[in-house]
Amino acid sequence: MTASKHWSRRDFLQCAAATAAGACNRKSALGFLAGMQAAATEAATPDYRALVCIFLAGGNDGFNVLVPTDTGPYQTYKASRGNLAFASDNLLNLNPTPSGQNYAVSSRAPGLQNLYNNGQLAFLANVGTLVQPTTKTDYQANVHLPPQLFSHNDQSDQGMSCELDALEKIGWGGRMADLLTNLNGTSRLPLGVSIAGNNLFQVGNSTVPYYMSPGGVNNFYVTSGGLQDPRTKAFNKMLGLTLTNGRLLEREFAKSVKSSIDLSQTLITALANSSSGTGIWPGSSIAQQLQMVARVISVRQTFGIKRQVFYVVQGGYDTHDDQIQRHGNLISELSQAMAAFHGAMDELGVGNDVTSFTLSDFGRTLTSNGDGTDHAWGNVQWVAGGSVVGGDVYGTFPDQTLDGPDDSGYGRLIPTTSIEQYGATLARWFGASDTQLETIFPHLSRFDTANLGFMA
Amino acid sequence: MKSLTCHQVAAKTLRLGTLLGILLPGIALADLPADCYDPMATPVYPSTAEIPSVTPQPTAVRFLNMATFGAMPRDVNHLSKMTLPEWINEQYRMDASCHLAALNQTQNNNQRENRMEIWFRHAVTAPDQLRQRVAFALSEIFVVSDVGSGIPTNAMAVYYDILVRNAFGNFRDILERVTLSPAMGRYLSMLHNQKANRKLGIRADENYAREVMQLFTIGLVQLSPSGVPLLQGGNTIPTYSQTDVENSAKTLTGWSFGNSWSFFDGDDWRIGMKPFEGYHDRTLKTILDNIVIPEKGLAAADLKILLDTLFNHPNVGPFIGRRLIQRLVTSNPSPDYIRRVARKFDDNGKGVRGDMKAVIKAVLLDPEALEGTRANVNFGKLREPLLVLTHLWRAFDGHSADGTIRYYYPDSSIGQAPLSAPSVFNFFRPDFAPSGTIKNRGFFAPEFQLVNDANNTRFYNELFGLINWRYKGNPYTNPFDILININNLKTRARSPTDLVAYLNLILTGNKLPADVKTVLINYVRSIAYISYPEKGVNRALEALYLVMSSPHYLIQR
Repeated sequence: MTASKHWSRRDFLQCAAATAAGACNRKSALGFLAGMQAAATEAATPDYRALVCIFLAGGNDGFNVLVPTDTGPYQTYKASRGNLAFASDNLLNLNPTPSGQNYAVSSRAPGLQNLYNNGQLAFLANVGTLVQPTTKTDYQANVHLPPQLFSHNDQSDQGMSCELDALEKIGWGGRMADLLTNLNGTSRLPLGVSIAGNNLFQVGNSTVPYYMSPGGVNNFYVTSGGLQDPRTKAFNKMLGLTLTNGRLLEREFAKSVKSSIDLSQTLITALANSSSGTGIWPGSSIAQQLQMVARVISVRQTFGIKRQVFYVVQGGYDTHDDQIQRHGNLISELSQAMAAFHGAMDELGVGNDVTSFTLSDFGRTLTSNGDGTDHAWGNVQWVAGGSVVGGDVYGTFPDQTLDGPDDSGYGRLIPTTSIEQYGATLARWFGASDTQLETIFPHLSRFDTANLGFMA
Repeated sequence: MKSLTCHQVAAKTLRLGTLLGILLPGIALADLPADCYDPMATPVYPSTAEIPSVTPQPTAVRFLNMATFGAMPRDVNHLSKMTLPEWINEQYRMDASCHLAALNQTQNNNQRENRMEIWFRHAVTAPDQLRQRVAFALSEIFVVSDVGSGIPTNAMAVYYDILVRNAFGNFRDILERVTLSPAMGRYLSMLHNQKANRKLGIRADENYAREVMQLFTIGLVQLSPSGVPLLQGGNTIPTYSQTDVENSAKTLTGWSFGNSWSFFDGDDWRIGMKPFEGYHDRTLKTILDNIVIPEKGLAAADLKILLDTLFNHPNVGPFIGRRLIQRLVTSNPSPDYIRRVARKFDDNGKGVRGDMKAVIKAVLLDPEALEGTRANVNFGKLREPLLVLTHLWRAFDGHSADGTIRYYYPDSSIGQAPLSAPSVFNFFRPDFAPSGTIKNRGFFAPEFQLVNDANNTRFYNELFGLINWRYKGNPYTNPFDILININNLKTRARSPTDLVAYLNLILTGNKLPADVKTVLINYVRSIAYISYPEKGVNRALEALYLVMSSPHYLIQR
C-alpha cells in the first residue's frame, strides 16, 4: 500500500550497492544520476528554469486518472467506484514502479502513459490541503482541519496559497516570485506569466504576473501613433493625473492599464521571433495555452530572464454528472497537450529546465452520485519534464476502502501528503533555499519531509 | 394526465407560477410573476408634464448609471421631472419585457447569437430598465451558464425570464423558481438527482445542495445584520457542515423535467421540474440547526422545509443585500449600509420578509448610494465590460440599420457575456481583490477579476473600434454594424469646452476632475473642427473615446 520514498544521496548509494543483487530499481538510480549530471551542467552555465502550473478547474477526479492494478487494490477500487470504475480494457498499463507496484492510467491518456514510461512523468498519490498531518480520528474530532473543506473557491484558494486561515491570501507561486525575482535582474517581463487570466496562485506581495492570451499580445490602438502622437500624449497625461490624484480604485485601474501598455510593445517585438517547435499542436484550449508558454520560453533570452512561472487552466472538471464522457474528454485533451508541450520543450533544448505540474480544487468522491462525483479532498497530481524522476508514484497511495482508514465519508480521502510538500519539492528545484521554503509554505515544518524526491 | 395538464398550461402561458401551484399545492405562492410585455412593440415611454426640474441632471445621471444599463438623455430628462422614489415606483408599475418572447420571433430561438442580440436589445432599449438591470444583477448571483453545460439557448432565455419576471417579487419565490428551473437543474445537477441506491452504488448528488447555501442564500459563515462575520473564540462560525450538505442533497432528490412520464424521460425546458417520489429520499433528514425533515415526506414538502429554512436564516438579508449593493452601487458598502438593506429584507415595513421592491429601494435610495464618496470615501465600482457597451449604445442611440443590436460574441470581444460565466462563481467573486493597495487595505473590487494585461488590451481596442469606426455618417460601414449617433456631439464640438462638459455630464454625472478636463479640452482644441466626413466628427470621436476609456469614467462613483 505504501510507496513513500525520498530519494536522497544515501538512498542512491544504498540502491547502487544493492544493484548487483537486483534489489533495486535501475531506472530510479539512473534518474538520480541524470539529475546530478544536470545539476553539474547547470552550475557551470547560466541556468534557466520554468515551472508550469496546469490548473484543472472544478476538481479533477484524479483517482480515475491513476488506477491501481494489483489485484487487492484494484478490487477495492472497483468496489468503491461503483458504476464509475474502469474495467481493465479502459486502462493503459504503466511500467511497474521501482518498488514493484502496478498502476494504469485511463485509456484516454496515452500521452501521460508515454511520458511516464519514458521516465518523464511522476504521479503523487494523495495530495491535498492540510494544516498538519491528519488522521481519520482527527477528521472525526474536527481538529486542525483546513477551513471550508469541499468548497470550490475556498479549496482552490487554499491549494494556490497554502495560507489556509489567512483572510488576505497571496499565492505560493507569487511568494516564490517575490523571493526569487532578483535572479531575473532587470528583466522587464515579470517572473510570472499567466495565459489564463487572473489567479491567486501567481499573486505575490510585491509581484504580479503578466497576463497574455493564448493568441499572444496585441498593440493598444489608442497609443499606436507613438509617444509623440497628440492622442497618445493626451491619453498618457490623463492616465498620469489619475495615477497621482485619483481615488484608490481609479488609481489601481490606471496602474494596470499603464503597465499593460508599457509591456505590450516589448512582448510583441520579442514574440515575433518565437517558436513552439515543429510538432503538431492540438486545437484544444489547454494545448493552445501551452503552445503560448512554449513560445514565451523560446524567447527567454531576449528578456534575459532566468526563472519563470507560468499558469494555464483547463476547465470543466466539476463532473457532478455525465462524468465518464466529460472527464474522459478532458483527460484526453490534457494528455495530448502535455505530450505536445514536453515534446516541444525537448526540441527547444529546455527539456530538463521546464517542469509542468497539476493542481486542482480538490479530489472527488470515490462513490458515484448516479453518473458523477461530488467534491472531496485528497487527489492525484502529476509532474512532467526532463528533471522529474519519473516512472514512479510518490507519496502514500491511499486505502480506497469505503469507510476505511483513509476515508472521511463517501470516499472523500484524507490526504496523506500536503500540497505544501508537493510545492516545496518543486520550489526547491526552482531555486528556493530552505529558509525561503519555510516562507513560501507556512505549514511545511509540520510534515516529515520537505522534499518528496520526485525532482532530480 | 397530470403531465398533460402541465404541458398545456406551459404551452399556453409559460406561467411557471401556475404550474408550481399545481405541482406544489402545499406551497403558498405570493403574487404571480409579472406578465410579459411584447418587446418587439414600439416602446411606450411614460410622458411627463412640463414641470420644472426636481432632480438635478448630474444626480439623475449618477442614479441612472446604478439603476439602469446606463444614463441616456431621454431618461435623464424624464427623471429630472420627478423624485427618485417616484421614478422607482413608475418602474415598478411597468410591464416586464421578456427575453424568450423576443427570441421566439427571431428565425431560430436556439441560436446563441440571437440570444445575445435579444439581451442587448433589452438592455439598451427596454423601457422596464430597473427590472432588466436587477434581473442582470440576479443572473450574476443565481448563476447559470451556457459555458460547458449543454443547456439549450432557448432554455437560457426561459431561465433569464424567471429573473426578469420575479425581480420585483419576493426572494422566496425567486429561490424556489430558480431551484426548480430545469436550466439550474442541469447546471448544478439537481435534475435527475436520485436517492442513494446501494445496488447501483450511488448516493445523492451534493452539487445544488452546497451551492444553494454557499452562493444563493446564507454563505459559509454566520453573519451579523451588517454582514460582518460573527466570531467565536476568534474564529468564524460555519453556517453548515458537510453533514448538512449531505442531508440537503437527500432532500433535493427526485426531480425531473416537468413533462416527463418517467424519471429519466422528458425534455421540456420551459416549465419547472416535477417530482418523482420513487426517486426521492424519504428517510428522516436533519439540516441546519437541527431542523428535522420527517421521514416519508414528499419531495415537494421536503423542498418547502429546506427552502423555508434557508429563506428564514438571518444571514440572507446581509448576504444577498451586500451582493445586490455590489452589483448595482458600490464594491465596498459600509456595514451600516448593508444593515439598512438587510433590515428591509427582513421586514418591508408591513411584516413581509424578502420583498424585493423594498430591498431594491433600500439599495438605490440609501444615503450612501446617493451621497457617494461624500458618505464613504471608498465609494465606487469598476463598470463591467457589458455595462460600458450598453451605456455607449444607450447614451448615443446605438443600433444596426434594422433596429437590432447584433453584438453576437461579447465573450470573445470583451470577455463577458450574459449567462456565460466560466462557473457558478460568476465572472468575478464578491470578495475578489486585485493584488496591491486595494487588497493590502482590505478592500474588495470584484470586477477587477476581469482586469489584466490581456483583457485590458482587448477591451480598450474593442471600445476604440466601436466608437471610432461605428458612427452614423461613416461611409465605411455595413447595415449590420451597430452605429452610434454623434449628432449631439458634432454640434457641440465647435466649442471643446461644451463638448467635454456634455460628455462629462451624460457619462459620469460630472465626476471628471478639473485637471483631467483641461487636458481633454486642450487636446480637442488641437484637432481641426472642420474634418472628414463632417464638421466636428474627429473632435467628437476623440473626446468620446478618451472619456469612456478613462479610469474616471470606468470607475463609477
